[in-house]
Amino acid sequence: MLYAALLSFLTLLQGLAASSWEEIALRFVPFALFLELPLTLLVMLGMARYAARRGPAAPPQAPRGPALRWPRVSCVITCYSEKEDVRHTLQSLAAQDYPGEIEIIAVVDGAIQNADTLAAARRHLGPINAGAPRRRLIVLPKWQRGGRVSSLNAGRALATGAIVMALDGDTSFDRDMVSNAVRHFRDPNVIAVSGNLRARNASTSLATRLQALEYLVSISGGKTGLSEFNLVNNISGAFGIFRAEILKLVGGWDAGTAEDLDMTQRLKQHFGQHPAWRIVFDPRVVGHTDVPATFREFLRQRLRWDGDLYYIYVRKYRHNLRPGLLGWPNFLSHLITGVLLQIVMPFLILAYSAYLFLSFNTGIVLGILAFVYLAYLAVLALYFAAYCLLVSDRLAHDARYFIYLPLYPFFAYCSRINCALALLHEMFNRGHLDSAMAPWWVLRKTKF
Amino acid sequence: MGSMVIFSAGAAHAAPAQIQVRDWDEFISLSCDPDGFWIAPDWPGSPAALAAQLRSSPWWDRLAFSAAPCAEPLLDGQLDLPTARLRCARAQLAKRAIAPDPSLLLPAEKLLLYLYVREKHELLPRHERASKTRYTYPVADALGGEMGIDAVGQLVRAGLLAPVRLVDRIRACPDCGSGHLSFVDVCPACASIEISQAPALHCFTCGHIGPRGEFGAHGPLSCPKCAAALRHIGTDYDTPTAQHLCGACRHVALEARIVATCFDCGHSHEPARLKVREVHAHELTWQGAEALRQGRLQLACQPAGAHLPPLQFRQVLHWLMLTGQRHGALPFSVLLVEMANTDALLLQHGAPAVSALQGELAARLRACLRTADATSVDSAERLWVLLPFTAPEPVAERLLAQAAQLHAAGETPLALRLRSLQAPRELAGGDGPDAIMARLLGD
Repeated sequence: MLYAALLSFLTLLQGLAASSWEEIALRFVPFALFLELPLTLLVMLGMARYAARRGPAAPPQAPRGPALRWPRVSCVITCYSEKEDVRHTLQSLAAQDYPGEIEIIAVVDGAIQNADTLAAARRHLGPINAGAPRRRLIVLPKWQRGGRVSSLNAGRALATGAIVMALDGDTSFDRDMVSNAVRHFRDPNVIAVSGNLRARNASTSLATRLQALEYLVSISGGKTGLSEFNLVNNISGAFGIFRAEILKLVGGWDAGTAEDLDMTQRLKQHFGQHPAWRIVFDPRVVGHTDVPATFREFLRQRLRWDGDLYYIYVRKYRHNLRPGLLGWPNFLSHLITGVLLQIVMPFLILAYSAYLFLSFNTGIVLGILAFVYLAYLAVLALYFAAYCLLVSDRLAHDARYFIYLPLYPFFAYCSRINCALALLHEMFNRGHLDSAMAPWWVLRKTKF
Repeated sequence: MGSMVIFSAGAAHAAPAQIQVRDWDEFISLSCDPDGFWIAPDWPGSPAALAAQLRSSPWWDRLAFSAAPCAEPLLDGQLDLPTARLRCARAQLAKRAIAPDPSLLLPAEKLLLYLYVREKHELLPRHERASKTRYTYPVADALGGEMGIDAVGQLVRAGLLAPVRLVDRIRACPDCGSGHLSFVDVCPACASIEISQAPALHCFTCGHIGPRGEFGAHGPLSCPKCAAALRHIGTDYDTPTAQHLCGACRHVALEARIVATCFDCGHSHEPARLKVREVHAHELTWQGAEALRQGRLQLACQPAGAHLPPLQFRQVLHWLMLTGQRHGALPFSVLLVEMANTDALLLQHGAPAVSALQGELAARLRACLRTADATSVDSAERLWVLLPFTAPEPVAERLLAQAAQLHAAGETPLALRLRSLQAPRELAGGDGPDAIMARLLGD
């Protein structure tokens, strides 16, 4: 078998130069060439453009100016069962170097059963309100659990700031997060900023290491590139920054699951009317969050996330995927990165893998897969190098992840297979109704 | 035993030590001096009016009881006649220990006497709606003068009255001291009072949260964002939280701000800035009783035989010197008695024993002297004696003999240092009382 594998591998290598179009088409994972590679190149181009625009790395400057020059920022933090961990979020927000006012609204959902989270949040009332100048903490208990969307909307109802942040209850933030984020809003066309997420518990296990690498690749690197062309695919639910009047325009968050993708979609639906509007991603607006520590938890998380994507793009906004609403760039981006890459391709990969294993003997299949793996790894290495050199502000820390690159393709492959299963679960089982993001009595009222 | 005056409507009948009258005017016309008063159950008059008349009369300190239960603060409660008679007699007896003449007392001193003759009596505050400070002491007011809480406070600060029970804690305006405050909740953003508490509704269909008013003020509830009909709480919607909605600036807040406005001066304050005043029931202290017994309260009624305050001693000394200079022969001597070994005694006996010793020494010295001699204590270890027309030596010898008796066998004896000055022989020209005393101290 091994001999057959080696043979097919070498044949493929040899055939790179000599084959006809059809053979190349068969040998290379077709969608990798026609869909994923162009996207990778686009992102790398974006990263280069970002680096060029930013200029040589300047030493980080503390924000200056009188407090009144800076708008008030309201941070809505949705707390549930984080218990004591809310202190990471609250303390890191109170300790920001932002010269203006920060209003921290900690919304505790289901405050009766989460009494410990409520108590932990309330313990910060004295220190922050009395101790920190220009920082105010409001703790809003929601006695009846209503889900993440209702918490965000409740916080938004109390928010008085010109900029509203939607944050998670156990994420902590770099000191310059708020000032870096607010800078973007000086441009009146910027309607939202998506924050950069890093895995805080990366060193816990192999699973967390690979997820940390995935965050670097797809979020820190990928979204930076996309942001240069105003094609940011999603504003993370754990870290979204919006103009308050834009939130008012879209009527706040909408019930159901995947409220972050939902909000991003609804914001983009105004791009047709307002082509100058932009959603920006800034890799310097950094938050640190915990990622699932085991592979099983990771797969369960992605089951929810990938199923949510189908729910949003196909069930809810099926009729909204048109250039009149989204503008041509985002329409194409959604078609390619959203529908084709995230929905169609997992099935293609599943089908292709099945076809390979059924049509050829195992040895040849392994050879083909090895070739695909190498090609993928080469592109990935190039991409990651580009990220480290052009975008990363923690080069020494991020460069260490080169070691994990060889494992990444397997990780990504398993992720895709899981994604296909998630899509099936959503399509046939209506998995969005079982979401843990809201209680069942709220979810069943959804119109979709 | 003195007589009791009984207020009764019934037919008068003679009884020993008992005078029956119909009303206050009849009592006045009789011109007697009773020990106390008793209101019979059949008396039709108003106890409150009677008490007011009594407390502003020359018999203001007499006890007055009533047969029927009575809550009048100026009367002394409900008792039957024989017990009341006993109590009144006892009070009169207690009054004999008082040095000053009761008729010469100031209102503050009257209050002390009033409490003194009623053993263990509490000076109770009463809630007075009309009063600016909201609490008054009816007994203090009835005894003359508008005394109020501040006058009683002065007596407390002087140590003559002590708070024994906390009755209330009131908050007063920091500007004018009035206890009449209005507390109102206002919008934390614009301080307008037009705020209303609105429960927030959460629409399950679209996740919108807003105050109740947004969902349709009257009639069926419908979500302003998605127009879903909210018919059943728990199924279509719920009320997760409550908020305050300001009618003036549309601000939505979790909690309203409380502001206190004074009714009298109209100023508004944060509740934390209000003056907190505690209202107590008071009791006469031992110092107060002592002060009353010795008559130390007022300068004018200083009887002979008590220690003079240092200022007065100097004044008397000065008067003696001036009179002697003017009229010739007025010899007197000044004697300074100092305890020399206080430290050693403190080490041996401890502070309470030593201060008892000092008190005993002063008392024995007093006993050695005549009525006309003046003494003054200006520190625990120092005693001044002014001896008109007398040489100091005999007194000094007597005092030393007394001091020698003051210690038990085997203990450290009390060492006294005596210095004296005889006038006009040892006076230098132009000396003042301070100079004399300084000279004695410095010797």
